[in-house]
Amino acid sequence: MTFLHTSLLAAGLACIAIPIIIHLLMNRRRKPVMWGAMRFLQEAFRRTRRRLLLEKYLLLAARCLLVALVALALARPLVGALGASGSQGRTFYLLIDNSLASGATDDAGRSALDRHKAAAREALGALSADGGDRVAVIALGAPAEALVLPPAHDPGAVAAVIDAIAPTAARADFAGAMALVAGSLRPEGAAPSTDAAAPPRADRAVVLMLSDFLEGSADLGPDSGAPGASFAGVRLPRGVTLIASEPAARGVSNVSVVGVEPLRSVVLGGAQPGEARAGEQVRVSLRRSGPGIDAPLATTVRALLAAPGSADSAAAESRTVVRWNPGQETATTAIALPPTPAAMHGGGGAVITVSIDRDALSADNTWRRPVEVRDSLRVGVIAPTRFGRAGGVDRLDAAAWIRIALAPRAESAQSGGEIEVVNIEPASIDSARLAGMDAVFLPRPDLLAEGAWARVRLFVDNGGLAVVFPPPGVSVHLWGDAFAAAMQPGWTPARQAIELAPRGGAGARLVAPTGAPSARGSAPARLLSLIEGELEELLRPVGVWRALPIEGSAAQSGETLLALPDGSPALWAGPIGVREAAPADGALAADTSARGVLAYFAVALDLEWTDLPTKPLAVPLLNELALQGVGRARGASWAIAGARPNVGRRVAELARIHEPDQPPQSAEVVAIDAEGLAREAVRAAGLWASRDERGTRRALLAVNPDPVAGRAGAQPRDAVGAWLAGAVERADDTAAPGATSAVVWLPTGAAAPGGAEPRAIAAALRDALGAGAPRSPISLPLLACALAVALLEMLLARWASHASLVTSAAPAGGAPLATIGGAA
Amino acid sequence: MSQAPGSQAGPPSDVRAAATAGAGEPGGTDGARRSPAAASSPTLARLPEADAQLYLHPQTLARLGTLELRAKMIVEGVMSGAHRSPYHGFSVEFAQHRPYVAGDDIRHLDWKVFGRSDKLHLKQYQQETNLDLLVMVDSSGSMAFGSRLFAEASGQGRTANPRGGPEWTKFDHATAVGAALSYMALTQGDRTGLVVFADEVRAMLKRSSAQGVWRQIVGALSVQPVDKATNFSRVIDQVLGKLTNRCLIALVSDLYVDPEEYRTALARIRHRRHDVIVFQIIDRREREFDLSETAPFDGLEGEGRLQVDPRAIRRAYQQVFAEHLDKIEEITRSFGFDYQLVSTHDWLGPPMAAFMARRNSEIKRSKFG
Repeated sequence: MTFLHTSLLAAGLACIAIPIIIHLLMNRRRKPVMWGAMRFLQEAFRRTRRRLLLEKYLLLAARCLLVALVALALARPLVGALGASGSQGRTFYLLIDNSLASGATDDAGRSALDRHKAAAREALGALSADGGDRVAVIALGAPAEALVLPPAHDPGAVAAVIDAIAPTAARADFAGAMALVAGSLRPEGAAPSTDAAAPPRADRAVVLMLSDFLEGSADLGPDSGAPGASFAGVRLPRGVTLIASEPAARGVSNVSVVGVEPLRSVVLGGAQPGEARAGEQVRVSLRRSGPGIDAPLATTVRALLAAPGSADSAAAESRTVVRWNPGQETATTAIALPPTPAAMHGGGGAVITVSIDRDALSADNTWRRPVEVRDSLRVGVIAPTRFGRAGGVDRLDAAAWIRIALAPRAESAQSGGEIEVVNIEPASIDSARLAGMDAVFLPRPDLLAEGAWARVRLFVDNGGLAVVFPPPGVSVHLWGDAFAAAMQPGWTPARQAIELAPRGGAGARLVAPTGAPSARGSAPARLLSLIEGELEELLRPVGVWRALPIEGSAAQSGETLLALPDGSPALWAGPIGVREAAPADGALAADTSARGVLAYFAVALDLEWTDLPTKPLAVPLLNELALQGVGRARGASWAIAGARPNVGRRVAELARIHEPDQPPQSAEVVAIDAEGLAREAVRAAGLWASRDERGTRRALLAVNPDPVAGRAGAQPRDAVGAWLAGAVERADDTAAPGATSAVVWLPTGAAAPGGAEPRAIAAALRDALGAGAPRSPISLPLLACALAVALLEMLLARWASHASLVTSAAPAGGAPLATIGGAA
Repeated sequence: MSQAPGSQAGPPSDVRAAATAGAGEPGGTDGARRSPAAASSPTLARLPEADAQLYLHPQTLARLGTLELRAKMIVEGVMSGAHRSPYHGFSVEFAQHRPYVAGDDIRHLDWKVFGRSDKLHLKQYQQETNLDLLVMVDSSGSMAFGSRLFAEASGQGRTANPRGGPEWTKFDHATAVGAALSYMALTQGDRTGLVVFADEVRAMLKRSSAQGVWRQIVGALSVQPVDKATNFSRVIDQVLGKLTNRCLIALVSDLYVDPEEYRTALARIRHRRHDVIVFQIIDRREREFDLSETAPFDGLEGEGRLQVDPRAIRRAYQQVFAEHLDKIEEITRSFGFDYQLVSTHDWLGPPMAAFMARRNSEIKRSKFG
């Protein structure tokens, strides 16, 4: 047996002490009466003692029983199946859509989330707290967040939680929410229990989903309605009631910024303050959705480069206009960055903020991309110094060629240029010296001691770029063992170089790989993307006669920028420290944000191996490799809202950077686990600074709106219903998809202009729920018993008080006690 | 309005002197000798002797003045009076004839009978003698109970009894009964004595026909403490040991004693051929038990304490009480003694007059009357 109101039961049982206390107080000491005829009193008491005790304890028992029965009746006990299930009324799971699409506003300026919250409050009012209804609240912003779970009885507290729900920039995570509900209904390892904390019964569970079900919120997929296909295989137990708000009849016209890609992650400042480097552009991807997609539209795109968190409204911004054709859904435009602010000269982090015109869904109108602003890069070339003049071109070694390629102008090589080249002796490598470098080139890895490789590894781990070339003039390349052991690239270089073409001939040609983009994602993310267009032309005159190829599956751990004729990587770039247990998909996705980049060029920059140093490709190839590689090595600079950002193992926490135009968020600091992943998902768009254990800022992280979540098109109710119905187990799972009978629709005002009246919501909810909360089947009989006991108590009290005897036998008016001589 | 007899008598303080002087003599008090502690008790010494009129209201006296106290049984006295004597001889009231035998005084021959029947018969007369009244008043602890206000009962404006209490106790009522009886005896020239008892004889006042004796009786009663339990057998033994002639004993008590003990005591009195009038004094509250609040009840004779709800045991109490009264009356009448139940809430005069008239008529109707 369980009770709907255990607190009332406890209070009532405690009240049993009241008659007992009264009984004890009746025996308290009173003023004694001096009595002469004591012998008769004692005799009378002896005769009536048993009857008096019986009366007293019967009366006490009746009063205690009366209080206990009333307490039991008020506690509303559940017996039999109701009590054994531990269910206490219905359990409501309020799934409230606070995804990016929930920020869409109507003509009155009211957002969908506000409507959902109002509907949730109305739904709370329709519940029966007295009937033991419980409420759980789950926010759908990815990943789904259990705000109130396990279900609670306190509607006031739940309403406060609902009021505090804030919009996110993530997509709606229906699958995660369903998993939370299913976990609550069927907790793993839960033993059958009869107490109040037992899991709710499925047939008393109601899942109320409040969403407009726009395309960005509910990804119906191609096979919606198929059993188990809707929510990543999560199925709710049979018997769960699904109630959903009506899908929006029409979406909102929305233009989203879905990507901002600077040509390089490192922006080099101009030679003079206020001077922008020529050609520093960003590529902006836009997408529009909603009912206005068939109309022409002009969207103004603004780009701003500013220090993070600065309120410099006067900062210069550049603009461009994107003109949409009817039916056009996506657009890409390039916009030149405004001149670098003078305050940023000298280096530091900056944020490219791209925004578009305000529309109905404004949360996805801004995209941030952190970049690093540098006056110049410091590149170390680890090779032995050659004294004296080199003589002719044929006498130049690989290190010399690298220096020439990185700093073609002599004055740049010294100072003031874009890339500052520093010579480092292989024997004098130390961590402090490497720490001042942005990248190191290793044309002679065979000269590095084993301990030096550990320092190079540390340099790369700290966000550096290392470019390794095979040493020329070495027949057996034993250095590869120490290299592979220290850097752990996931592959090893071959021991011996292979001859690609006979010396004296034209040599083999390097090829640029084509086809599917690499694991890094879209093509612009590739290191050589800036020269991608001219790469084929630049590769044509380059001949390669010898190479030291990679052994192992290098394609799975990095990207192949250039390939040998046989398809093996000629120029490979990727992270280091690749774990043996790679993700199942084989992609680099798990480590895309890892800091540090290792590049391996399988051809030594020696004229015995290739004539690349003398060809035009050498300068842009090595420059882009250095510039883009350094930017890549700095680690991930942006993430999608709703994900757990990977910021590297050396980061202890993420701290939010407040921006002037953004409201304060609840989570201001996010901890980072040992794997470099944030311990919790970041759901709101904004800027974050990664800090190490000493609190030193290491990098910037921008969390941008989920591009998928910004799709604002409406979806048909039947399709949504079929999709939702797939979340609940059915008796016949082979039933035809599209059966929507399992979903009860609730008008919340999204379907019709003007919104539904709150009363209509509550009434519809009551109609949808049908029968009310479970009623205690024995409360009424208990009350009847209590009434009977009360009557019995009255009779007993009357009987035990003997008041009638006193009244009837009391002498009236001082009549004579006895007649003198009457007995004679 | 009749004048109280003995109004010119000495002060009540003479009682103790008389008691002391009469100690060891029949009819005299021996309380001082038997209970020196009681005689020297500071309580006794402090108690003021009450005004006799507190206990005999003038209206009561008026009713009692015309009454005659007779002994139902034959008593013998030293004075001729209104009472029959067991000694048949030569008196003024004819009793019977008997045949003459040799040696008889011929003065008592009835010549008229000889003239009619030629037979010698002597003429015998009933001798009248005086009545010795012994008033025995119970001063046990239970007699200290009373629920009537003293001021209301005494009619003298006093609000406290001689012991300081505001209530008219059963002992006060017993004092009034004793005073009334002694008054009646004195008005007809009889001697009156007093015995105060509880667990033993506490005080005795020798029998006397002096006119102020009833005041001395009241004075003696007013200085007696009212406590201790009753030991009726012992008291009767002590009293009977001191009586040499037959008396009319007026027993004034609540008689909260064991009935069998009471029966034994009366049997011994009857065996000594004394006449007894029993006045059982009760309080109306004791009989009605009309209390309503649960309270601890303390016995006045040291019976201990008992906390009860009076309403709960009232019926049983009344039943026990009535059974006891019936038993006492039955025992009393079984010996041919008169029994009278007296309530402290009633005026003494009218019922006392009715009782005496009824008793006297019964005596006249009897073979002795």
